[in-house]
Amino acid sequence: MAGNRKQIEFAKKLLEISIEDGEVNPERVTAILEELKKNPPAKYPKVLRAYLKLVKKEIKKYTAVLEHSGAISDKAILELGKELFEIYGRRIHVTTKSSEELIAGVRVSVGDDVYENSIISRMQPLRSISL
Amino acid sequence: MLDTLLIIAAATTDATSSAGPLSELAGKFHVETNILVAQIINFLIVAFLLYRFAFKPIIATIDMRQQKIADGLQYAEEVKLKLADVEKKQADTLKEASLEAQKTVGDARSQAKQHLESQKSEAQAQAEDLLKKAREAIDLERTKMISEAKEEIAGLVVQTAEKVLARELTASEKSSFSESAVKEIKSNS
Repeated sequence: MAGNRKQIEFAKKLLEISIEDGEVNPERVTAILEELKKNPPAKYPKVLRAYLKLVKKEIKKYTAVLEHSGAISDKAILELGKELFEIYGRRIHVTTKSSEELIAGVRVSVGDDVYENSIISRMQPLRSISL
Repeated sequence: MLDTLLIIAAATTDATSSAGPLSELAGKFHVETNILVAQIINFLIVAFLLYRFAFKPIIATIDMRQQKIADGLQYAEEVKLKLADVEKKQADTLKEASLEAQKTVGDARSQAKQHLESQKSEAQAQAEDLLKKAREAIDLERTKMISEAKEEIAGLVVQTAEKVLARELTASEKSSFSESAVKEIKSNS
């Protein structure tokens, strides 16, 4: 356990190095990985796993996943990005994903926050309504 | 005896013919005064002695025995009275005991009846309680069943509605809904 903690601490330091202007810089990440490959630290796989987990978590913080059913315009995506910038105070990259299970509407996930306005979410309360 | 009478008769006849009949009679019978007096004195002494040493103790013994018999009779009488008293007391005691026993039996019967009534009412209360609980359980189960049925029906309705919407909504309608949904997210956030 103490060993794991050491690797996690090391991975956190690597993540700090990887961030530039509040975002994970791919070039820095590539450089770090190259360096680790040349001089592998103790328990190298564990360090890599912890680093990957932290990078994913960090990217999720400024990445919004917009799930939608039916086509959605670029304008709407852009407006959503602006709105998210106002909410979080930083630039949020919006990625889209088609999700037919919503029937119609959208679901936006930013980190642990989820905003949903879809047919499926509107129908959900009806399931618990007593007739 | 006949001879003696004949002698006395002859003496009587002779006495009528003489001057001192008593002297003659005494002479005929050879009674001497001195001897007679002595015999009388002897007789008195013997009588006194007999009285003093024989009759008196016997009489005393008889008296004592009579006294004892009287005492015994009196004691027997007392015993008889006491026995009667004891019998009376015993009869009274028996009567009291009988009354007491009757009272006790009466009380016991009353208590038994009371206990029976109490048990009966308790059993009735328990039965009513059980019935009430059973009714409550049935009501609860029914409510639960209805609630579950409602949920299931609601689920089925929603599921059907979802399927219908998924099938019936056109691509443009979906797109339009999604666009407006993004705007609503913006306005709500």
